[in-house]
Amino acid sequence: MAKSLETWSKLDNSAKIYPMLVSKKNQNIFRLSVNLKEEVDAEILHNALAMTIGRFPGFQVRLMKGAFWYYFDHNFAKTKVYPLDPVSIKKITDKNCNGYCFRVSYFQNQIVCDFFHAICDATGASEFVKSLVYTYLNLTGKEVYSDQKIMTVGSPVSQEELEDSFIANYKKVSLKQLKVKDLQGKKAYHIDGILFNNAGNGIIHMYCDAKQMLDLCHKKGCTVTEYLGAAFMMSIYESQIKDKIDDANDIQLFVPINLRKIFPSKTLRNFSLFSRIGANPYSDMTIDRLIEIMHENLKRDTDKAFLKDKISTTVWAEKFFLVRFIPLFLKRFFFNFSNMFFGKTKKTATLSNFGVLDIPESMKEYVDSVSFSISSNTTTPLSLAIISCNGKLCITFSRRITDTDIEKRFAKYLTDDGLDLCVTSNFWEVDNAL
Amino acid sequence: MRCNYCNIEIGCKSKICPLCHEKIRLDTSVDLPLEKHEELPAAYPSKKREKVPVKKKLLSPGSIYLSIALTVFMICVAINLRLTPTIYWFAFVGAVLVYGLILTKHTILSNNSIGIKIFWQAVAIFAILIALNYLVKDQISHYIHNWVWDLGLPVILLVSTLVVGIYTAIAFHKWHSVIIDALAVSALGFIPVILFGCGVVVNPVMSIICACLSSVGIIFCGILGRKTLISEFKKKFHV
Repeated sequence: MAKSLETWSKLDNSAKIYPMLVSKKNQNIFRLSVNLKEEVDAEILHNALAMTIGRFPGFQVRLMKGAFWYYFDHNFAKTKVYPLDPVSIKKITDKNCNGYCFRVSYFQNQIVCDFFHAICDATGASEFVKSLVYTYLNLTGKEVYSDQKIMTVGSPVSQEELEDSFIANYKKVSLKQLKVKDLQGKKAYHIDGILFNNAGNGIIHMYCDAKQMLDLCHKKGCTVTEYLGAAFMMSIYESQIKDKIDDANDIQLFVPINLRKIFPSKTLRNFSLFSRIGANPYSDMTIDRLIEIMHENLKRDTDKAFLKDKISTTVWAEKFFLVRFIPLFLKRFFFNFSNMFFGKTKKTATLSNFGVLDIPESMKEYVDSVSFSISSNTTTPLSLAIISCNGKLCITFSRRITDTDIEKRFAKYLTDDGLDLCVTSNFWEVDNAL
Repeated sequence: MRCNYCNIEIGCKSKICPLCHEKIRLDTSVDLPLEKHEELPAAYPSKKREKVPVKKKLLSPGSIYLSIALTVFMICVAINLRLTPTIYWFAFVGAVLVYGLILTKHTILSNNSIGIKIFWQAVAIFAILIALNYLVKDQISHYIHNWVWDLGLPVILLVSTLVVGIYTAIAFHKWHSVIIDALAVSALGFIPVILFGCGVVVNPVMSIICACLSSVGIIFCGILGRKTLISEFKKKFHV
């Protein structure tokens, strides 16, 4: 394997921010969880992980502090699998994960993988998870075939998987050409509620038939992201603003855009940007209008030229000599300060639609469903993530507040539209629910 | 099992609806036996809520030490000013207590690298010497008050260089993680000579010995660990 893979690597352009924003309570983590049809064997999973990690050098790393930037060093420590912690999407630290920036856990029939956003985005993580589950099923003696859809253990590692696609896809721009305004936004409405007095997120999964959802969206003439985004904004409005607040800011959803669909990239590292979708709570609050807003904004923010400019702006910021030579501790201070005062005031919630997790036909027999969750935090206490696999669509709410009213209203929208929902929860907000 | 209020199916073991928190009732339209409730598995492990963070914070080793140290210091100040108002020995007690804090927080309980730990130890011990010097300089006739700079500082840095050198030799299998520290601590050994140049250090003997040892340390790092050193510099100082 290439020598460079075994020594150290820089963080990609978007990953550079994540370690700087880690605080005592918050860390950008997301979870991909695979629900198998039979109970998970911890020892086999451990072996599968030990085999899989060798195929993914970008994941076999430890986050280190440099003088000016963080960097990844090769992690020689052994990988471990852990029983699933009741504290969901718990912080990933050097101590609790053997130095790795991800954690693999198991519970009953679930294989649960948590990833710190610094190493990858959900698309990169999904390749790792698919490979892990494939190896696990192989080790349990199941007949599964990769069908060119899995990065199997032993397959060659390409440099493209490890590239920083932001750098590969940016063009040099002058100060005047920077699209700084596109990265800024208006002040957003903040979801109100009583925060949990302990760590962890309240998690609610809503499962439905993917085809039923697609049929519904076709009938409405929109995409799944547009429909669910509209229902989400409507639920926030009805639960928090309607008849309660007269001067609320716009509801602003952050929707990650997978840039691999627009630019040629095979990277497993971060390669996504956010689309900011805002709706006025006093003039836009009908489902049809919100779908229209979602459509318009997503169309604008997925325009290749527009994204190229955005990429160029973010890369310019990283490469600007003043930024480069500021010591890391000052950068951390600056990012935390600016994030505290400007960043989170412009976001109501995050909505992330992974899309379809494509697994080989032979694996579908053993995989029941897949769920995808993103961590929420004290300033943006509610997040929504969507994934579909094996014909089942999973909508996951993760929240830091005790109230479930938004989720209840959201579910009502869906069921009123004829969708059959199956809901599960970790009941973080109540005692003795089980 | 279903929640008739929310019109949803509940897919995990539960006594209540995950959305409205109403107690689960058997849906009469779907002929499910009541036992079906128990058959469903829990979606997540049962929670052990991490309460009592406030108590935990109050009783952390650091806060216990700090409160004891502050109490001791205040008592010493009171006794000092009451009994021996001309000698401010409480300054020395204060320095020792600060040293204790650095010892626990930045050395014993810390995950910092060996270099940073040694650096903080050197700073703390030097602070004690300064306090001691301040305390006794007016009490002893013919007292050579510059001993802290002439002798104290070089010896501390000399010992630091030796300790980090020995540690580096022992931990040769993880050179990459200690070599920058070894180099940095060795480089600190030139401070007394620089201070001699500035006129702060009067008697340069120990300063020269310290600088010689530091040179040896740096040369060893350069010769034996050149490749590691270059690679570590690239990592740590990449822009």
